[in-house]
Amino acid sequence: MTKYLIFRTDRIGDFIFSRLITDSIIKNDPQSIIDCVCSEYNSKYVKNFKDIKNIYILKKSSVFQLLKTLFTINKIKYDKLIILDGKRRSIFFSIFINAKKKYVMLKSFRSKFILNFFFDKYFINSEINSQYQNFLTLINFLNFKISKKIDYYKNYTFDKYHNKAIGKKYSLLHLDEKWFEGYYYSDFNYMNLNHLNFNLLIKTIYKKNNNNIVITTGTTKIDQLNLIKKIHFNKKNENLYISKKYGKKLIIIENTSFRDLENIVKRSKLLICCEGAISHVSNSFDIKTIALVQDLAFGKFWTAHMNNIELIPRSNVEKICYTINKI
Amino acid sequence: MKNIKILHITDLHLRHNGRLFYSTGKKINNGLILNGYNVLNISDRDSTNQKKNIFDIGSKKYLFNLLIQNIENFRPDMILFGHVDRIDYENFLKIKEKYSSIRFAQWFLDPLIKKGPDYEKNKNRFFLKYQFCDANFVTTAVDVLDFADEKKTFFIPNPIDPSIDIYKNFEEKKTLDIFIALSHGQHRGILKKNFIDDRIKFINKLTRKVTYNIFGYKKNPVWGQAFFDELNKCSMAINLSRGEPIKHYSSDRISSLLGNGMLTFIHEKYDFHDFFNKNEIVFYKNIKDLNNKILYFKKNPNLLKRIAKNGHKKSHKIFNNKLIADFIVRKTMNIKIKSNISWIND
Repeated sequence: MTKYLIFRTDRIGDFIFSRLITDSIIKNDPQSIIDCVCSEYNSKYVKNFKDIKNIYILKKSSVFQLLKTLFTINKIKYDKLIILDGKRRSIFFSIFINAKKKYVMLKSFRSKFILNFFFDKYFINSEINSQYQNFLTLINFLNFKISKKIDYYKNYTFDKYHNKAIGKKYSLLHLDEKWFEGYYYSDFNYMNLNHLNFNLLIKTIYKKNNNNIVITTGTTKIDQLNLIKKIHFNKKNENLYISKKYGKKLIIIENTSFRDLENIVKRSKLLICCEGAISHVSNSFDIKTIALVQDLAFGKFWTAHMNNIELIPRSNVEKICYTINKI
Repeated sequence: MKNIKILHITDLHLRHNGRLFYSTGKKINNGLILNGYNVLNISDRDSTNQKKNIFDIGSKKYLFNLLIQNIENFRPDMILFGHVDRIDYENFLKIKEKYSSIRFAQWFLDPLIKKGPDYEKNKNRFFLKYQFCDANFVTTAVDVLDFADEKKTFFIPNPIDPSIDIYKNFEEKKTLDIFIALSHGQHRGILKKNFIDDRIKFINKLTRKVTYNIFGYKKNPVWGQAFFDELNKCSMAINLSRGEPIKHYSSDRISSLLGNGMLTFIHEKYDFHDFFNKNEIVFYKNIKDLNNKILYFKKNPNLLKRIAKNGHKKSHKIFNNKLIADFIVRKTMNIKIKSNISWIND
């Protein structure tokens, strides 16, 4: 029985992607125990995976909490410690953990002295390969082969989500902050989606699949999106907007948690989104996905392992619609 | 098809003054040239050996710069690495990042047997380049290696080079029966003191009713032309490799045994049934079975010659260096391969 401690103190999408590793461990070594060091944010999500036995939260704001966590972790003698997030805090914290073997997947080079002294092996998550290839190298180094069908949601407890407004066959358009300038990274390319060209995008998606369209949003309040809602939709209730033009065939569902979103993605026929955690979800369910990316090379770094995905570089809406039509 | 330019970085043993003229690196290199590829060589260990510097331990910086200069001048389509250990992981990454359009590949000959010699060391050497290589080539069946991905790792046999493996021992009666050659590392050349491995215990259990020509036990290994002269005195050979048998692995010596027309005995657990039948090579189950078979063939010289001849013919066909080199290039460059040879289609 091998005991693994995995560091993933970043985002939910990164954790879903990391199921590559936990799935390989479980399939190759079913008796193994996997514990996880998480951030406070993703720990609430990770706890839904039954195959993660213990979850430790890395709270760097409190030295007392850090020492307490360290003490708890060191009570268990781990065989293999694996840092997947490549974060400085994880590397530093892991130095004080007792584990027979320590491996780290780095985002960029760190001090060679620290790496060679405290770790048994390190790999760089370099963009010359896809992230999948880099993780595959680590999995192989752990003496595991990756299974042909990765079950990302194995041992996961889904939330019970039901929304009468959502029909059975629908395309999902996820409009999060990555669509609108001023709400995400400043050096990103953004689409010029607004209340004027919104109908063009909707018509294009409808033409693609002939299904109803469900729009979900992120948690950030976005001015352009509010204007779209105001002009094109009627508010039905706190979370639901119905299209003035298309009725129930085009709706917006707001205030969905990530776990609600998983259910909505799972039942959709097509997902259109900006590449991120949600495209990892759609890949897990093998849902056809059109993902908007900063550029194709960068997009491929994240999505090279996904079979049912088309990447489109972010640009103006007219150009995107033209490309969607061509797919 | 555009003529492919290949930068082949491998130890060509120039510093050994001809002692290892039949090395696998050289055979693969010859194979690449025979296929008409444009090949440029860097003999990494010879280069670093000549440029020793106390400020550059292991001459790693020197080798890295040498590589960059060669890439800049030659602009290869593919870089093929042999056992290049003097470039560290970070520098491999730098090269790959700088020349991302060049395809990278490595070949690796040493045993990768979990219970075998130097497992961790060899695995780490393999992983030094594994992440950045578009294709990796090993002399062990990939399906039995739990750390290699079958989409980018491929089996290659130890190559036979018809310009080097020129003898046909089956054609005439030999003065001695069995040839056995061992070593404690080809770079070292001589035996380690007080070092006994499982192969010695095995040799001590062999029948005394035949004559032997053994090197690497009690007397030092032979190298260079002397190796072929000694091999040429015998009609039969036992292929001994270190560690537990593992599918398709063999010491590179097997190419000299089969390739020079000797009746070759190999343990059945190496699964060479996948390449040869019992009319081409002799499989044995254990030492008792081996001894019986040695005595049987000693008494049946015509059958010995026939099987050795068949083995020679088959091995020159399927373990041919030109074929192997072309397989390496095609797999790395994603060029279609048409062949009816079993190891190519695996």
